[in-house]
Amino acid sequence: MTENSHTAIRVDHVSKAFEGRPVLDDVSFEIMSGEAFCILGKSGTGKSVTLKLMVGLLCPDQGQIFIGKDEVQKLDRPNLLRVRQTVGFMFQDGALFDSISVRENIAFPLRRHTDKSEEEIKGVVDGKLSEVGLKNDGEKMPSDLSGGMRKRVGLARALVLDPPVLLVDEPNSGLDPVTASEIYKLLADLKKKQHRTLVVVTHDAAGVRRFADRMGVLDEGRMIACGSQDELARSKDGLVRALLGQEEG
Amino acid sequence: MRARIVSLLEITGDVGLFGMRAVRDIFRGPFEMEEIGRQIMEIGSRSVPLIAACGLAIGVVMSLHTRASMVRFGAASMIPAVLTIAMFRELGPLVTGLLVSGRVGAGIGAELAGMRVTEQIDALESLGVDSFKYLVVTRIAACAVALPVLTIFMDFMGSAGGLVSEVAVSHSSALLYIHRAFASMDWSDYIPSTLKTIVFGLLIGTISCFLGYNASHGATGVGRASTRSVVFSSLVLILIDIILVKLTIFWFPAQSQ
Repeated sequence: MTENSHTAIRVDHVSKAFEGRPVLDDVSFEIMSGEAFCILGKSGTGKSVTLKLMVGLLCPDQGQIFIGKDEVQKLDRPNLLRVRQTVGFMFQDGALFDSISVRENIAFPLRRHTDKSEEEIKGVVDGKLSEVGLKNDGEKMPSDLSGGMRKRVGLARALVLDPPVLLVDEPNSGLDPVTASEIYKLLADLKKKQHRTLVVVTHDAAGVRRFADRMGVLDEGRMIACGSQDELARSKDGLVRALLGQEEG
Repeated sequence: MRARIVSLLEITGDVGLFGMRAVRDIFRGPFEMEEIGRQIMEIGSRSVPLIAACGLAIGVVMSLHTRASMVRFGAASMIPAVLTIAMFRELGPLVTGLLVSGRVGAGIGAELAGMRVTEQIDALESLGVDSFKYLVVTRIAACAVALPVLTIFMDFMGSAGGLVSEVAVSHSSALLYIHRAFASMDWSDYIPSTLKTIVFGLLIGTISCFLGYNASHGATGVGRASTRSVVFSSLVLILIDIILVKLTIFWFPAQSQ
């Protein structure tokens, strides 16, 4: 794999084990700027671990990960924190700060990393709340929100610094099909209108079809398939076909 | 048995490194002054009612217990001095430390553990915020600042409890009690004992933050972190107190008189 100036994220021969149990085994792939890349796989195959490795929340046992030209594991702490500001992360359950309101959750990164006035922050937060369809819920506490609303707030918070890259962990987990579809629509809009680089981890291939440029399939820590939707549709692998809904797994 | 000793030594080493990193980061910018202030209010001001009630009660109880013995030896006039010195030298600092380790240690342990298992700490990190400085350093610094202040408050509330009890039982003058209480006090009676509560604060903050920040195993882990925070910080506090008292007596020989 060669260095490419348009590469947003590069995962290079990465392995990771927890307490001797391998979770990722020599995984490599590259994501281009503006691309929507979806990582598919069954539960427990290392999908979420891959996302956390990308932003340095975990360290790989082997291999390298690049965000743009920065090798994540070689960055010192201040530079790692700087690079993380360019990568939004939407967590599986929102990971909202439960001691502050929805509005304060979204304003938090702005207060930390920008010199915006309170009025400007209010404007940006209102805009993000409208974008995720929660313009009347800013004063609620996270404990008062449904699962879908928590994910939307998590998405708004992840986007508030306008990062060029967005990592999304299981956008549909715990949601009914209608709410999940609404979240997918938001992600599709981000791709289409804002041209952000999306990395979405899910087991729901049908949901991400509307915006995924390429997909990778993880199985027992190995990337068993990677390519466009058409390329994966032609795969003969049973798991790939099952995840794509083409036959029983 | 050997494995348990090794494990205990490992944890002790980890807590020590964790605390040293936190103390180092207290003096390294950027400083989270707003969050430290918020934590001081959380840890300090919300502990005031508990400290006040306990201080008063301890003062009254000590007075009642001491009176019987002192009267027997014809030394009733020494009751104010004995009570005040006992309160300032040891009871105030130790009881405050134990009360704070119960109220605040459990709170910090549970709060950070909850944040860990619900990925809030990961979320902070992913937003480019140094979670260690923001969550751990601020709480440890707040504990170290709040403990001495709470201890002074406890000392005076304990003395006030003794005064109320003595005035009520012996019908003596409140002014005479105060004069007798503080006339024989030396600065070495309250400065070293108050300063040692900074160490208590650092210990409570470090142990509770360590257990909460490194929690795992979901809701069970939260409960475990909370309980262990109280148990370990109380235990370590008492053990360290023995060492600090010995050091105080060594450096301030007047304390042994």
